[in-house]
Amino acid sequence: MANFKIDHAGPLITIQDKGRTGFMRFGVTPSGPMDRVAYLAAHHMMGTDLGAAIEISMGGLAISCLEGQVSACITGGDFKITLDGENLPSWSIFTLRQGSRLQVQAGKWGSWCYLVFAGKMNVPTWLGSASTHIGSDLCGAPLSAENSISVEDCYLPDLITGQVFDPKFFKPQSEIRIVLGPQDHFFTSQSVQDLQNEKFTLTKDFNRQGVRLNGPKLKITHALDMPSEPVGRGALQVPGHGDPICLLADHQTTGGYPKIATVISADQDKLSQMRSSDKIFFKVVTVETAIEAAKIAHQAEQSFYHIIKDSQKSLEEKLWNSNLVSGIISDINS
Amino acid sequence: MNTYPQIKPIADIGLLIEFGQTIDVSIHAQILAMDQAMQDAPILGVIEMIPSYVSLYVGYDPLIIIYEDLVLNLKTLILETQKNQIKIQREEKHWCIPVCYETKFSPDLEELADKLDLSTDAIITSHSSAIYTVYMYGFAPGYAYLGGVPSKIQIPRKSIPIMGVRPQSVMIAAQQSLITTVTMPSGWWVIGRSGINPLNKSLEQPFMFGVGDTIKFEPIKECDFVRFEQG
Repeated sequence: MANFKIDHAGPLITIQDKGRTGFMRFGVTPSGPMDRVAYLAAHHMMGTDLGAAIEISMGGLAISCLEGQVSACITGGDFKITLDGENLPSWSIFTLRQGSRLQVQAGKWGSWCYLVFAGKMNVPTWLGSASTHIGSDLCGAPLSAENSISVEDCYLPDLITGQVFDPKFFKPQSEIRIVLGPQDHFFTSQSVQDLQNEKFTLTKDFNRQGVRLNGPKLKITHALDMPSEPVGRGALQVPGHGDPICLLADHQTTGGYPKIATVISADQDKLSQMRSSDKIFFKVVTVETAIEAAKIAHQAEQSFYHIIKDSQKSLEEKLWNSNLVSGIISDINS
Repeated sequence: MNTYPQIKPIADIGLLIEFGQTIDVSIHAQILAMDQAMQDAPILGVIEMIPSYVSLYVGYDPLIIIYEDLVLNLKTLILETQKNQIKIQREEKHWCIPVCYETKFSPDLEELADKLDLSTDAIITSHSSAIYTVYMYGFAPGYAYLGGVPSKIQIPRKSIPIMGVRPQSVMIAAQQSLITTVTMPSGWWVIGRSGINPLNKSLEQPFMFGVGDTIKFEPIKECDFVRFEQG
């Protein structure tokens, strides 16, 4: 057992696991990590079963270990990690002992990172998942200072501590692929062209539910009176103001605003890792290309997880692996 | 020329089977029949279905099922469902929900009476004498969209949503009514408070209503409401 006190927690820091799949028909959003690749990578690095992680926002987190000891790792983006005053590279494995103070702050890039312990965090679950859905208070709430964290079944796996992976390979590109529809015909043809030809900027209206994008205003020709229909992650929903809102992990399950397009699953997490004022370009692809991209990304991710698991072996292998990883990551990012 | 149903892809994550464009009982019946047919004969790779007003959403995993195969499968199933006129197996339930419409619990009733040029009693009588149908869930956990608001009390939602509308609020907007389950912002008109929260998170099946169920509201007095809340 290891116990921690939260000394500082920025906004939107929550407990997330795989998410709560299969209950959208009851209005329950799936939630889950904003960057699923990084969340999964953390568990592969630690060799733990997929469980709860702390999703840390750019607001940062500082925790102190009150008792016990446990290994942990942080993945996702390129965050600044400080352990007992010493800087650690991001995507590192380290050990927390009684008296240790861990500080995580926004770094060079990335909006979300994942803290995973080699143990089991004591957290509430609902409908088979520990993921917090901000707003409903049905399964926990965002973490705040003075909250405590307890980890059971702690262990110190025989792992090399230090950086496992250089995050530079994962820095998202500005191109985001979309499939048009289901209501692209509700917009002027100029707006459908603008969506593909002009750049869009992520605004500060950015949370786990979605991010509002700013660019040329998308003009709706139809009346805003369509019956509400189910919406998925990645949907580019356009309310009357003409700015598309990309729906993310905590998206509402239905909506009455038209969707001009949907971000393909292979690019959704990259968009989540970008920051306000970052610029993106949309590239329209077919459903077939989107499915092919999902397959390529899945295979690349599997190889990547395999390698980061293996990279515990020796320095020589690690170096060899990092060359291999860079090739695979270019697949994930392609 | 639009013919329904139409299958519309949503990137590589799902598709919508659209059965029409307007909210209508017979269109909704086709959606429920298709949802039922897909529950009776699950297709490997289909993650979930979400019935709604005019469409059925089908979420799938492209790593498990080939998109073209899924579409063929669904087209066959649509034809079978139409031919056999599949009746919903699930027993549709009829609910009677106690609602207290007294001033303390109905912050928008006076303003609504003004706007509709009706007495508050007339609004209450109208709201509580209609039979509502659960068309779909949406927006937030356990938010069941009820169709059937009488035309004389139909009014568009407020122009600006109100933050922090509390659970068990009974609200209306246009032809819809809804009982809130959690604290959320809402632009609907709050006209009463339900004696029951239709979401009980401690139950294994936390959602009280099934899509297709019917509901009637039963006005109760504040003293009964307090007794109700205390069990």
